[in-house]
Amino acid sequence: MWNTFKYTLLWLVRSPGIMVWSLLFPLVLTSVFIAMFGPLDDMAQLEPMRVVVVEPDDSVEGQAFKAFIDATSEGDDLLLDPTFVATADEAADLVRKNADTDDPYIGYVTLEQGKPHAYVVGEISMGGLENLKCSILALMLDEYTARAYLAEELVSADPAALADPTVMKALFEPMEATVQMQVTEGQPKESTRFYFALLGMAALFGGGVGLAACQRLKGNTSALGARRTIGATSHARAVAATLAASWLLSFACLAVAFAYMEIAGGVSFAGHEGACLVVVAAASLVATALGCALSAIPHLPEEGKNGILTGVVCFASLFAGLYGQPTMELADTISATFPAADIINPATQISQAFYSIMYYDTAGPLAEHLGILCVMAILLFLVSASSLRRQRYASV
Amino acid sequence: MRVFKCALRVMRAHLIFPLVYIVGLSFMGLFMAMSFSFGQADEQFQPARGEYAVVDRDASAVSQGMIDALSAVGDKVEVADDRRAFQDAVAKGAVDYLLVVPEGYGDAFAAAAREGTDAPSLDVVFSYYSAEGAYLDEAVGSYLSAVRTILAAHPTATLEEAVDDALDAVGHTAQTTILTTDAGMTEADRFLFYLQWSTYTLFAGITVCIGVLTATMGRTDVRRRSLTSPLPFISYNLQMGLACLVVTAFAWLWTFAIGAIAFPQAMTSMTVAGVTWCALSMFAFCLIPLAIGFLLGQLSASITVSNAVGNICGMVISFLGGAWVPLDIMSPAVLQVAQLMPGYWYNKACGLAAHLNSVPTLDAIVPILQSMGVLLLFTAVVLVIALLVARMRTQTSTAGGNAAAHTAL
Repeated sequence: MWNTFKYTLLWLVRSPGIMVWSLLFPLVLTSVFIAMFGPLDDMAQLEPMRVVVVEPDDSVEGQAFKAFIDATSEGDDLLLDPTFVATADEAADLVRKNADTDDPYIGYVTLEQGKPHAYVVGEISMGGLENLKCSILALMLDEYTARAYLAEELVSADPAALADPTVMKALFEPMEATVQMQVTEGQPKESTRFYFALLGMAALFGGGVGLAACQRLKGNTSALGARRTIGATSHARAVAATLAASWLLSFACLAVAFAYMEIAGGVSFAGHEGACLVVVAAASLVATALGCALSAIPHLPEEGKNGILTGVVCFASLFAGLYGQPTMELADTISATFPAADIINPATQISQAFYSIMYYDTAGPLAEHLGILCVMAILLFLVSASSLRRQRYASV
Repeated sequence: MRVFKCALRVMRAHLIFPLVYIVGLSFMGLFMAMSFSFGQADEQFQPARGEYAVVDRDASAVSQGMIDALSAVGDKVEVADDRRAFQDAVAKGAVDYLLVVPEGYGDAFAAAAREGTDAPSLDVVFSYYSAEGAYLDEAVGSYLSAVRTILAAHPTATLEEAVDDALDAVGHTAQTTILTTDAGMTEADRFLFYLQWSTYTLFAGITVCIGVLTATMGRTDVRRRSLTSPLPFISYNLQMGLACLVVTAFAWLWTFAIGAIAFPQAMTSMTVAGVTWCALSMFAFCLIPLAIGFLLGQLSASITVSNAVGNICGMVISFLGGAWVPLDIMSPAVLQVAQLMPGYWYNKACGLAAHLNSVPTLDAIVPILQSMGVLLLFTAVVLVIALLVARMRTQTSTAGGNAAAHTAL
């Protein structure tokens, strides 16, 4: 049994096709993700919005508006990066001229009959933040308008109202009503979800290991399998050792990818590495079981089974939200509409198991996901059971 | 044409590959492009909306007013009042903004406003889309500031009156209009996104299919047999090349056609010239994985290896083409690398082609041709390497040629 284990493992490690999938693939994609999400996380902190402002006139409203723009474009957490021009036409020209460049303006603001009016570009790029930025600008101007209306009302009701320092302070001092708190152990970062989805995909591609090992176990799928059936090792022992070797290799490769993610990718697992490795172990088990189940498909050459594995994994990962922002949104929508789709998707379960380690302070959600993964593994092993047990090939 | 027919039979025997990679994966792009929603189509500006939840332990007029104020900028999601529910909501991204109003907040706020002291604070939780959270927070701040002002100015006003007046004041909004620019999003952009995403499926699909085909036909004994046949070598190679082209053309036509069928609005909004040039750019791109698959076949890569190479390269190319995350938010270093990859030039060609007029001028066509030229150069380079490898391989003992006899001596 030990020999079976040892030589299966050696053969697997020496097969370039298998190692490319289980080791090189997660390492390459993690590197891609590091390049991709490094700048994205910085971007979550909104940069000041570039906006064109038509220089207001010297009326009371004009001065108040100028003061408002100045207040929002100074200090530490400034919101606006204004460029002043003389007329609305000039402003529109400037916005249009820069719309296609790397540094576009989100629009321009002008004072029309004492009331601010924003002209915004709307959504000009796929997945960009323009619409949100325009909305924030609109909301700021709304706030300004509401405040101006309030001041007017107060003065018309009681001309002396604004003389009261409490009222002045209430009207003009910025409101700091809320304090951000954390209910999860770490603050969720958008990019972390992609790394977890990647771990899900990489784990499932590890199914190739189980698939290849199983193919070499059966008498009718490979020459090696045919030789092994006449060997002295009992079939049960051979199966156990082969599966153990495949699982160990997938686990080891995934653990390397995980370590690379934490060290080179800077994904913080905040002292929960032990729990993460448990998830890695469960994920490798599901992958090995998946490989076994695919290997049980009759009358299909090994390459065909590999093709099916790729297809299954790509689709599962699509619904786990792997392929970039639009996919993540699609995955969110699907899991909100059909929660059952999450339960049968191993990639989603794996990434959510990681997620629950990071963001819950109880072990409940993690245990739930691990339970589902174990059930999946058992079901997949059951599917392959009939083809894995001892059988007769081409017997008379 | 026996070799050609035989090659197609080989492909038919491995039908699972085109089925999984070309037919199956192309639907991934469709799903994604369909799920896109574009903000506004015309003059009307639609502000962004976020998902918010308010856990109201106070149930006062002030907290009710907060919910009303938030409803103007977002959609309410119910979240139960316990820590696990909060964690669920935030971790799964069900809400962008979670506001907890403590008991007695309304009264404490009113007292602070009348005395001119700092208002008591509210706990909020942002989800990972923190920009949306900040946006919703701004709306709450604006509303509370109005309530504070009214309470300070009218010491006798009740809380309900103050809240009503504040909501009325907050209802006075500034006008926002869409400024039309040339850079606006149209239905054609949905199709363009699909084209951009199909770099992955095309690359993986064609590489794997061609890899399978050339690897199967290049096995030592098969090569031996075909070398001893009276068929001229050039004819054999031409027929193989033709078979590869047919597979590639199938992938190209299938991918382009289902995109065209799935997005009829995009098709009608583009000119015939635009659609044609998009299709041509896609074909130019398809030739690169064809060459890579051919190279893999010459390196006698196993099917698993071509599978892996196709997938990994496909993902990297589609990523560096900006299909995963828009390229304009990447760091300059990544952008520079991106320009060295075919995905970038393919997207550039498609982007230019999609906006062609019905009778395009030469000036409009030349940049597209340039980008396509870069794609063809990529193909040429890989093909030259593949031919070199093929040449070297014929001299090895496993290639089925004379070298085997030499080694035997």
